[in-house]
Amino acid sequence: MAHNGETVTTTRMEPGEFGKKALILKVGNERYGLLLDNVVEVFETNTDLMCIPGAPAWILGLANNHGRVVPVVSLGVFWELETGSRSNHIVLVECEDESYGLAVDRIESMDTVSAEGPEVRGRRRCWHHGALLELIDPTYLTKELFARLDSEQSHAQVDGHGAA
Amino acid sequence: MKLRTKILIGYLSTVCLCLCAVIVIFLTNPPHWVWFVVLMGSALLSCIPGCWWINVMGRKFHKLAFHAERIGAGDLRETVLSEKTAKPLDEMDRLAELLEKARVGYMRMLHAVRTSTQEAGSASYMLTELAKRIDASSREISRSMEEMARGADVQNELVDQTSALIAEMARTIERTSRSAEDAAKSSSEASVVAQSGGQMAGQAVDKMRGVFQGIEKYTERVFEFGERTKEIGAIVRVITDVAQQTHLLAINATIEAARAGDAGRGFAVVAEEIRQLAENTSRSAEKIAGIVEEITAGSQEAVKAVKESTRHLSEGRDQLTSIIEALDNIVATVTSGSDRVQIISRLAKEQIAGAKETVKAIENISRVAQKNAKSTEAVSRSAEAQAKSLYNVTTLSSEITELAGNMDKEVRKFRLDDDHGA
Repeated sequence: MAHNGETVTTTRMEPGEFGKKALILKVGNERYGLLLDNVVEVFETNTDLMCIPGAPAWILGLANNHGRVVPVVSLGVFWELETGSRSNHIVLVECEDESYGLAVDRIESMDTVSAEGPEVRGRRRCWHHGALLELIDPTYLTKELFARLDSEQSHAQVDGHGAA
Repeated sequence: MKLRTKILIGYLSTVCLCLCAVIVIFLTNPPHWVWFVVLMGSALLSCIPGCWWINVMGRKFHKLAFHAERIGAGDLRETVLSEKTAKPLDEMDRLAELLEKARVGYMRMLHAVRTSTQEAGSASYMLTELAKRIDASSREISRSMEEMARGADVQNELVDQTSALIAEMARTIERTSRSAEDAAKSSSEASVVAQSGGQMAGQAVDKMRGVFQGIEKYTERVFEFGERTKEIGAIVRVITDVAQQTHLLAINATIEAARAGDAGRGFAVVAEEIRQLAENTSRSAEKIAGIVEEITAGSQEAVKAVKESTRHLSEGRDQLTSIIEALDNIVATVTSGSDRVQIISRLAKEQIAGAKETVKAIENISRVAQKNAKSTEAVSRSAEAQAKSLYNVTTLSSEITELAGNMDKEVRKFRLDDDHGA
C-alpha cells in the first residue's frame, strides 16, 4: 500500500451526477453508499478470518477469495462507530493495484444514486428513497486507509525504538 | 292302850278303892280316925298309879314339847321317836309318831325347798345374766335397728334418687334413640347421596379420561405441528440462504454488468431483477421465518400450556380419583355408621325397656324398703317393748334372786340332819 500523506487526490463526484451505481451498506446505525467504480465483487466468508499478528484492530484478518488472499477492513472499527453483528458478506474493493475487503454490518441493496452537495473528505451527501446517506468514494477511502496504516506503523516503530 | 282308857281305868280304880273303903267303913263302922286313915290310905293308894302315869305322861309331854320346841325353832336334826317308843302304844306315842312324820316331811320339804331355792336362785341368777345378755343383745339389735332404719331412710332416698336418675337416663336414652333413628335416616340419605356422588364422580372421571385422551391427542398434534413448523423454519432458512446467495450473485452480476459498461446494461437489468426477486424472496423468507418463529413460540407456549393443563388435569384426575375413593370410603363409612346407628337405636330401645324394668324393680325395691323401714320401726318398737320386758324380767329375776336368797336364808335357819356343827 502506498502512503500519500495529507494530500490525497481522488476522483471527484460532481453535484447532480446521475446514473452512478452505488452499493447501499449499513455500518452501525448509519447507511452509506459505495460507488461501484472500484468494487470488484461481494463474496461470502463461511470460515473465520485469519488473524494478522501486530495488525491494527480495524484490520480483522485475511480472507480467502477464490484462492486470492485479501485483507479485510472493518469500516465500523475504522470509523469508530457502534457496530452491530457483522454479516459474513465482504465487499472486495480494488483500487490502485491494491485489493482489500470491506466488512460491513449489512449490504442492503444496490441502487442508482444521485449525488447532492459538495464532496468533503471523499464523502458526499445524497438522497436515497427519501433518506439521506453518505456516498463514499472508494479511492479516497483506500488512500485514507493506507495513510492510517502507515501512520500507525510509524508510531509502532517509534514506540519499539523508544522501548529498546 | 289308849289314853282315855288309862284315864278311865285310873278313875275307875280310884272310884273302886274309894267305894271299897266306904263299904268297909259302913260294914265295920270303925272309928272316925279309921275312916280317915282308910279314906286317906285308899286315896293315897289310888293316887300311886295316877302319879306314876302322870309322871310317864309328863315325861312324854315334856319330850314332845322339847321336840316340838326344837322343830318350832327349826332344828329338825333329832328324831322324835325313841327306841322305847318305837312301838306306838297310846295317843302320845301316836302324837310323837305324827310329829316325827311331820318332822321328816317338813325336813324333806325343806330339803326340797332349799334345793328348789338354790336352783331358783341359780336359775334366777342365770336368768338375770341371760336377761342382761338379752338386754345387751336387744340394745344392740335396737341400735342395729336404728341404723337399719336410718339406712332404710338413706336407702329410700337413694332409691328415689336412683329411680329419678334412671328415669332421666331412660328419657335421655329415648332421646338418644330418636337421635340415633334420625342419624340412621340421615346416614342412609347421606349414603344414597354419597353413592350418587360417587357415580357422578366416576362419570366425571370417565369424561375426564376422554378429555385427557383428547388433550393428549391435541398435544401430539401440537408437537407434530411444532416439528412441522421447525421443518418449515429449516426450509425457510434454506430459501433465505438461496435468496441471499441469489442476492449476492445478483449484486455481483450487477457489478460485473456495470463494469462492462454499455454492453452489460441489459444484463444489469436482468441482474437487477434477479436481485430484487432475491430481495423479495429474502424479505418474504424473513417474514416467513418470523411467522415460523412466532408459530414455534406459540406452539411451544401451547405445548407448555397443554402440559401445564395436563398436569393440572392429572392432578385433578388424581384428586377426583381420591374424591371417588373418599366417596367410596364415605359410603362404606356411612353404611357402617348407619348399621351401627341402627344397632345403637335397637340397643337404646332395649336399654329403654331395661330402664323401665329397672324403674319398676326400683319401685318394688322402694316399696320393699318402705316395708322394711316399717318393719324395722315395728321391730324397733318390739325391741323397745322387749327391752322394757327384759328390764321387767331382770327386775323380777333380781327380785326372785333376792327372794330365793331370802328364802334360802330362811330355809337355812332350819337345821336339817345333814347340817353339822352350827
